[in-house]
Amino acid sequence: MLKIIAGRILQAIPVILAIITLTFFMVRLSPGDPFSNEKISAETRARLNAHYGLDKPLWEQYAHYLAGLPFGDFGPAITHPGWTVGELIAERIPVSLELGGWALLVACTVGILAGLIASIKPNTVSDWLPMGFSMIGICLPTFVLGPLLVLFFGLYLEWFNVWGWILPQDRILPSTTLGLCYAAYIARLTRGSMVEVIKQDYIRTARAKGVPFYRIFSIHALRNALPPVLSFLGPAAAGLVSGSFVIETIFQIPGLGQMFVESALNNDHTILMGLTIFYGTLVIGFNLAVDILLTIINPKISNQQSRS
Amino acid sequence: MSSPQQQALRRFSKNRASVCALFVLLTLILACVIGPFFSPYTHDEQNLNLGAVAPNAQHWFGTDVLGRDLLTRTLHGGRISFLVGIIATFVSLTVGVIYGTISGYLGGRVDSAMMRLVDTIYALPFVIFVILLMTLFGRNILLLFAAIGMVEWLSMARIVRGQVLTLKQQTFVQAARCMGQSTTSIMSRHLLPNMLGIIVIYATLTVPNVMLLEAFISFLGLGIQAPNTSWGDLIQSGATTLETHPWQLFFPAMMFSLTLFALNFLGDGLRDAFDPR
Amino acid sequence: MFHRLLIVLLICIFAGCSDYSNTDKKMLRIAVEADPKSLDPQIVSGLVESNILQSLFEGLVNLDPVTLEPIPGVAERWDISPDRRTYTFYLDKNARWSDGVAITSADFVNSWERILNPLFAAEYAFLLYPIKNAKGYNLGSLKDFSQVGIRIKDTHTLEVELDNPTPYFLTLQVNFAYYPVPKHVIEKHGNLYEQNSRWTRTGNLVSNGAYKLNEWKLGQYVSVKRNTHFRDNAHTSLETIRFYPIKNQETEERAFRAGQIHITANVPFTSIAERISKKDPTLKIDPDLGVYYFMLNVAKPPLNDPRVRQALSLALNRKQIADAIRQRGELPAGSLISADVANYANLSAPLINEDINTARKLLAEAGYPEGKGFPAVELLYNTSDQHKQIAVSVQAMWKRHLNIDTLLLNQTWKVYLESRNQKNYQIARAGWFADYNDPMTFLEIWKSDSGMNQSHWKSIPFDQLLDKAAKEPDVAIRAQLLRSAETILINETPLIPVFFYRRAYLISPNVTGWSSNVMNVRPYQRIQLINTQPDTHPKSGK
Repeated sequence: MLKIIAGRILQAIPVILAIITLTFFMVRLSPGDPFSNEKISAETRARLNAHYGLDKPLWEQYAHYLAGLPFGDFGPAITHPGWTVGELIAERIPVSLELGGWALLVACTVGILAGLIASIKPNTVSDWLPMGFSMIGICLPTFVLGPLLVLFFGLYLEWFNVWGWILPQDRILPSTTLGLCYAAYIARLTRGSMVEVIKQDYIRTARAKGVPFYRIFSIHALRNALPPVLSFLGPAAAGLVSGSFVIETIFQIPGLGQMFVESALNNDHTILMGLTIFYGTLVIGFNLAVDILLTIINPKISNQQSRS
Repeated sequence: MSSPQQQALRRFSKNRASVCALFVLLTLILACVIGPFFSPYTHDEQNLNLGAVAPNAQHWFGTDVLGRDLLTRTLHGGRISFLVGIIATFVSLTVGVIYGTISGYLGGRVDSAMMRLVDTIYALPFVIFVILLMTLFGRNILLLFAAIGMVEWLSMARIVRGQVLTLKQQTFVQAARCMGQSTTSIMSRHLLPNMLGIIVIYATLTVPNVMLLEAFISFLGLGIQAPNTSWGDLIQSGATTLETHPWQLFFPAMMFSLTLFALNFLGDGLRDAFDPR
Repeated sequence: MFHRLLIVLLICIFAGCSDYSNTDKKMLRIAVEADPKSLDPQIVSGLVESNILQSLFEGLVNLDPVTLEPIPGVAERWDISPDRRTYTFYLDKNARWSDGVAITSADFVNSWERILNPLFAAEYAFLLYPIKNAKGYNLGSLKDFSQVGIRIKDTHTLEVELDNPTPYFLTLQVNFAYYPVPKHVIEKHGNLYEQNSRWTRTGNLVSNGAYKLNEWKLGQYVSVKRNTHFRDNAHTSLETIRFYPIKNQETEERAFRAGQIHITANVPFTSIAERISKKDPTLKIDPDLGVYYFMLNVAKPPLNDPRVRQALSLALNRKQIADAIRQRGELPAGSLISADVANYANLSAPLINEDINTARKLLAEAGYPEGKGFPAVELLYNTSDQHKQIAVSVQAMWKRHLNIDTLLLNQTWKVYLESRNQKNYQIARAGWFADYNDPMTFLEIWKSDSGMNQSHWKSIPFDQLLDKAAKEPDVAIRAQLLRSAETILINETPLIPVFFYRRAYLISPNVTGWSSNVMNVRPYQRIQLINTQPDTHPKSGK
């Protein structure tokens, strides 16, 4: 077990290195530079590139960047002189973690609940209704659902602020919007595996023994129906905590998602590289964590894992 | 005894929700394909003096700020949305199935290396990728979505690989191997037909995913080039006029939601039919 | 058990509200489009930074926010020599940095040396080029700064010598490029010429305006508070101003409606028409010194033929674009320079109007009768709903009137700029906003040697007229020369002007003392907050 984990961590190093390399050259080869704007002259641009050492050969910059990484040096934030990339990211990580955490809670609550209810009587109205509800989140893209929720709860009912990330209740609307778009997937996965699990003999046995219905569902069946949900949650959680551009734009939340997209659009390569490394590590880390969890739940999978 | 495919078909036709979903989906596709021919307007015909008007007898879905007929635009956008959904899904399936089968079947170091490559691409910043593709293929939306299919294949590859891992332990594959069949023929004759179910199911899930992706790209403003349109593009611009001209959001969003619902129920039905455990 | 927990949780959440008394009458909340890039006035280049820096810094001369007449800033008075090439500024002896250190003429010399220093690579250094030898020093051809026309007469007297009589030199002083920066503070945080310096961070920044930096939280707000060392502190009424970066215009509008913002940066174009028709008192539409135009790459056929370019320009119904799409009463642009630009003596009559017949005739003369054989041209615009709508309607107008095909291409901002820089486009949407209030800012970018002329268009007579105008001391004659240059430009059509920009934003009725002007000089010191109606809604945050 430990050997497998150590092996996977060792394997992660070349993957992250590959991500860094690919992103570095991808962003540096895309057109434009962080300084271009409507009014800047070619001379000033050249001088700014020189000021930040971007006029050197690309491989030299790449080597310089790699050399800084082990010391936690992600370079200067070119579009925010006076800040380092490390500082900028560190300031936003807690916000994204919190938003992602709440959203995950919403997604799991709504998704698992809807999936459970739907699986009680498959292919009836009590299946279609909760499944239909849980699908609101993917049928209405977040940039539609978000404003709708704001208009209703923020401006019409005046329950919440329409924007910002200051008060505790400012968390509710954004995390609901974000959570709902994951709820549908979780609901589908829960329903699907619940329908299978319920047909198993041990559930029938439990029913015959007179165990109360809700206990069978919530404890016996659910526990065995969770693995597919878990393997979905790995990469999903990585995506959630690394921020959502749309949600952060609609609610103006100072998280990582907005920074990610904007740095990409603005050729802001130092910030983008820092975020990519962070995100890549998260994805690999969450996938690893899920694999370990699955091995613990179901040793059969562990055999396959060790072979891979 | 009928073939597994026939059995699946019979099971599928008994599932009311799925048959209904299939019917809705076909109706929508048909409407999008032939609808614009019957419209007195074209998708790019403007009437600046008219501007944005609410649904009425001339314009059933209303018009946008340039006075373009929204019904025609919604149907026209549907064509593009379906087309990109299908193309991207086709590409992602082709690449994903081949990659996953090879990785799973060969196993060992090759498998490990191939899966780490999948991890790498998975963790790359998607937006950068889209921007690069837009600058390279920006003038042709179909090429762009073929390219997006090349990114979307990752999860397909993972799923297929998992299936192959279990399938290759089974006796019929081992028997084929003992009989000296070549690797490619084992893959195409034995592994592939046995994965057809999951592949079809996954395809119905990839189409809505790609459509959502297209909507997100439209939100970034990187989607289809005007005056062409797609549902993602219509919904995106409709979302900004949510309060003043709600019909601009409502109709495209309704068609989009209907399609997603139908595709999802269809996927469920197909899974139940192919995979009756 | 769970229920009890939930109740406790809810109490905790709503208890949070009590921190936020419903309104702070001394705090003005303003939305800006984005985070400022920096608060170093010599690094920045945008409107966002300008809006914030106006509260933090002031230059030698201010402009009256209503009349735009020069009024005292750090300089309490000034003399101008008869040839209008030498300015003597007499500094206010009460002028202090926010750390209490007195401001002397040396501060201005050091500041202007810093922005002109080639090592520092300041974007807006070119705004100081009217000063004698400033250009040479900035471009590196002149190494000796004492040759530059900036001299200390005594600790509080500064003499500035210009290359040419420059009628807009005093108004230039309100631009952030001319603001003084505290050398004694910057050097504490590293090299004077290092852009990536921490001197602009919370706690470090020292400024000389009515406000000083209180807190800067990137992505959240910039908060400034009263600077008690300010020379005119007695007239400051607001204690605090907060600038919130809100990137999404719909979000901004909702924030305004909920009372969380007093002044917005924009209004979503989708709601402007409705607000106008309802006579919404919170909507403000101000003239701006900017023009929306299409730039034509005259090296790419068929646009190398001036008749084709003119035909394209003549076939546009500019009024329809302004009325139906922009919807904020903007004037169609029949020329490059609007009537609001100073020093132009009402010379802004349209030079081109819609004329379909002439357009068709010109196109036929160019070899494309009724658009036959005309190769499709590509129109490039940067990602935005408005640009898209305008491009689409222009495409339709050209099709309808000239029967020619246009392909539309949308690129993200940086990619679009790169396409322009590489001159890899045929027709590109563009906008130009004045850097100073004078026709020259619109015309000089079209000179042959201008780095911002991306059209391949060159005209010797045009260059000569501009050079002559620069040396002309008489404002009226100068205006005539500039008008002749503008006429050449419009006739040869390397650009197609579309409309003159106006700025639309929302302002709360609780704000008094606000005044607007084409220069975007903001009257922060004069603004007061009153409570005519509940300012914020009950649960809103600060």
